[in-house]
Amino acid sequence: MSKKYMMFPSITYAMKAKNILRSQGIYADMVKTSQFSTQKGCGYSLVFNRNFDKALTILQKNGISITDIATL
Amino acid sequence: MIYADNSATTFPKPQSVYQEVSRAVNIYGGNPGRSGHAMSLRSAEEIYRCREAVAEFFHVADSEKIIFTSGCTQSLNTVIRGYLHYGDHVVISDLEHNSVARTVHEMSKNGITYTVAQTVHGDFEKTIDNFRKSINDKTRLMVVTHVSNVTGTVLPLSRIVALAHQYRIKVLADIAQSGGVIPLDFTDMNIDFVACAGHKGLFGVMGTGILYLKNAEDVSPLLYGGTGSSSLELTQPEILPDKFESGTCNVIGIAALRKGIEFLNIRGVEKIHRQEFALLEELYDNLAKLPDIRLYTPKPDNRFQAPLLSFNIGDIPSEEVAQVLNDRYQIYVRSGLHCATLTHQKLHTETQGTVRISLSCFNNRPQIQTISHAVKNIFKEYF
Repeated sequence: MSKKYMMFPSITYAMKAKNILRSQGIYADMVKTSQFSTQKGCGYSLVFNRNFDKALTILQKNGISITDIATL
Repeated sequence: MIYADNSATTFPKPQSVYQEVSRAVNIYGGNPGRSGHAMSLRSAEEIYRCREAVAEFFHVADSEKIIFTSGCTQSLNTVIRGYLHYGDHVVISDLEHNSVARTVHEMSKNGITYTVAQTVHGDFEKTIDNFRKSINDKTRLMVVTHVSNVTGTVLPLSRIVALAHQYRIKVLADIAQSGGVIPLDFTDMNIDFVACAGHKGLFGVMGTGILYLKNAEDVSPLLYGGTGSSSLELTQPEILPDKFESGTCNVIGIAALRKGIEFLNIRGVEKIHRQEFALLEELYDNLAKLPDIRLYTPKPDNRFQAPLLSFNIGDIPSEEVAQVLNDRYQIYVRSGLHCATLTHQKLHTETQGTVRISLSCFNNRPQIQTISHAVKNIFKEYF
């Protein structure tokens, strides 16, 4: 089953996103990723099995910068 | 032993800080923000928790604006050297530590000019007026210590920020002596840049510091290098905190700092401040009774003074008094010039220096009485 990835500009933003989502009852693992096309090198992503769209809406409302989205 | 050198670094630390240092060195063995394995992520999570704790403590909404540094000196240098350019003018107070005074003086060799504004203990109006008179059309920055590390004098930081902003000048506050000692709200103060030590009033360990930048666009980093982000790019990332956090950070120190802040939150900064100030008042009253004692500030008023003071006994060199306190009474104080040349020029104590007693919440009344008796005994011996 494919997973959806949300990439952030730094580990700090990935942490921030993870905590915001956790406070809303959405849990995601953080992983190191560097294979996305628009990425400029090392970075961190949150990986989702479900609730991806809901998570995206929450983070956008909270002004969290997301650099890339991918399904792998 | 009585430790009364808390302005240099606080001692003892809360037990939870010691325990965390021991725990962290075992738990946080991975390099944060560099790898994807569990130990690296665990370290990164702890850094994040501390960043959030610092932001909350100082009422900052966006924790990424909190930068971890090696100490207050690095934080101050980052802004002074990263914000000022050739032709700019900076105003500093006459109470600045050498971490500010030497930095601007060094930069004056390369086209930066600076003016030292005279402060007046207990008179905010005159102090503000002197800052205003120091401004010229090239002034881009004011660097102001909130509390003098020699006299404990408190400067009207919020009012200086308001004054500076009238002229579109930014303010860098040095809160080395007030962070964790006096309640501070960076957002309410509308301050531009703040430098703080982690190992003083915040009860962290040495080798930790904090820098807050409200807006970082106009500040260049002091250090460039690996940040664990945008690694294909040769240009330094602009995102915070990465822009100013090149290299591996002090995970153990930062974890301990979080415990220091936790301690302050539990005890309450205001409560601690009241306790420390009561001790200062008692100490001051005891010392003031002695003839030939030189105190460099008036009777303590918590609007104008933090819980530290400087004194001399007649013309006895301050180093000699401190040595006797150490050797005979196991009382640890600071003497000499406290890395604050400008302040000693102002006090005319460049030769003698001063003996400084700086308190923390781990000092108590019996210790104040012991210190007072010791000073009295030294006085009797010499006169």
